[in-house]
Amino acid sequence: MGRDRNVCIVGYAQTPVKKFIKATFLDLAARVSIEAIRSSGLSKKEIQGLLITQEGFGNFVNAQLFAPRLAGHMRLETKFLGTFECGGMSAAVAVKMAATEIMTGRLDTCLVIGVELKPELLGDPAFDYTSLADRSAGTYGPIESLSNLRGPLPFYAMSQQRWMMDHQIHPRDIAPLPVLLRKNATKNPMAQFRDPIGLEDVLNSRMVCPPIRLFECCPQSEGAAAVVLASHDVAKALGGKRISIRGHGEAHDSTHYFPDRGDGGRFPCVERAAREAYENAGVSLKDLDVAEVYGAFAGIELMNYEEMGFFKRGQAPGAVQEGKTALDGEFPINPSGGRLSLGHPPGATPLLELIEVCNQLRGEAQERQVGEPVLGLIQAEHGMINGSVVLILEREE
Amino acid sequence: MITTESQALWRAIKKNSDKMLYRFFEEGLAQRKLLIIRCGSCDTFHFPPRSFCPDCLTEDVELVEHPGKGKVYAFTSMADQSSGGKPITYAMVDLEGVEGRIFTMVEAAYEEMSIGMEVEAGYLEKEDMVIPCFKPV
Repeated sequence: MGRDRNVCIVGYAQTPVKKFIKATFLDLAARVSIEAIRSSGLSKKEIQGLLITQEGFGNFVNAQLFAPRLAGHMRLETKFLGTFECGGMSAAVAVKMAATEIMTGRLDTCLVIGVELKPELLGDPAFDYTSLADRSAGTYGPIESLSNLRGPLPFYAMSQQRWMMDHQIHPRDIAPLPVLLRKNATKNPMAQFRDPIGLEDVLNSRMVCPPIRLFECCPQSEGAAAVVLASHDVAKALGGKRISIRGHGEAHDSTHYFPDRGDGGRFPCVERAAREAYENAGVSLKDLDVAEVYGAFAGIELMNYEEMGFFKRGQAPGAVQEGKTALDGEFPINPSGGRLSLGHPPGATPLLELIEVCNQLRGEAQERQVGEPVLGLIQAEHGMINGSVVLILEREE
Repeated sequence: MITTESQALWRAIKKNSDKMLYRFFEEGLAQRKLLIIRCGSCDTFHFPPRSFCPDCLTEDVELVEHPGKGKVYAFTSMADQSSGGKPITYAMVDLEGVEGRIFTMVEAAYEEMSIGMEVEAGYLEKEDMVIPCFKPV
């Protein structure tokens, strides 16, 4: 975002990631926001914008006007307000929007919130099934809905099948990733899964949707996170360690879920978003010290590594196996435990990635700390990776 | 075997898909036909049928029947919770001569499937709906 007009992350907070969090949307969003504002050192009156993701992926109850309701709930007066929805990358888009508003000079500060709570069934089939069908047809498409599709997993599985075929990748090559992510998560008190697992646990877990096994899947989690962005001047006045957004990239393919043409074993948008981010930040891959990558399934996460150029095509599994992406490796990826073990509340996930990278850059990741990183990357996506955002964060000296 | 619960679900899906964009596709299904569009402007074929050409965005399109032949591009299988966990085989099928793949159920066990395998359109009836379900040639 340009060295002269950079935007800083001055405060953040998150909930632990869990299967269920007992809270209402408004209260959870408000509480995590209050914590983030407090950590920034700013007062409530100094918050000039509020952006939030939709009320959890696939929620359909009271889904309108969430941001204004939250502003009313917190009695927050702003100059910029909105709810951003673009699947799993919603919160990353919101961060980018907030940063852009700050860069134009219109705002000095902005709060971005991501919340994920599961939809609550009401027990009335007429309502619940209509909602389920709405969600299925509305999210994936009516033809897909006709074929009894209830989630995106078959798309991911078929894409991974193409990638495995193209590069002669064996299930045994993928299994080390869930094991590594779990190992990282044992050191993260916020993570949903913290019991160590071994290769055999992954390889013997239930086949859910071939070639994807249960332990290669992320859980469907609940959680919330908030970050406070501010102009460089405001951040400087606040003092303390400064993390700035050094660059960004965003790209979307002309497809929705499984590509209807072209190579189904590739995610071109991830490659394009990453390339733009590297150019925009003026950095090369070898300058990066740590990354948090969006991978809802182990194989898909490895495919993302390759699209961003971390490793050559077909070589991400080998790199993970050699320990290159471990906490003490040459390029640690997903020190938080990633989507598989930290857990995956899509509405909040991009912010959780951003918070992990901030913790790492500030040297505050405790047992998970990966040396003294200066540059970190986060990546988020929507659909079956039909679009992607890449942000590059920097610790300022 | 369709349970009462899944009947409610299918009715909801039907009601929903009626509202959605792919009216032409639905009309074709009712006649056991796979409808696609041919663009008169850029001379391309597309699936699913739309009221315009997704490449050149002109409305110079006509509905034509596709012979229903294609090749499996990728496949998988997943348990169907609404029918007691019975696995459903899914595939992306490259439709012959068309810019477009169809996501479909396939009337074959996962173990019988292979990439590149030739399949043809078939149809299942659920409630008052006709649903595409391809089968090996």
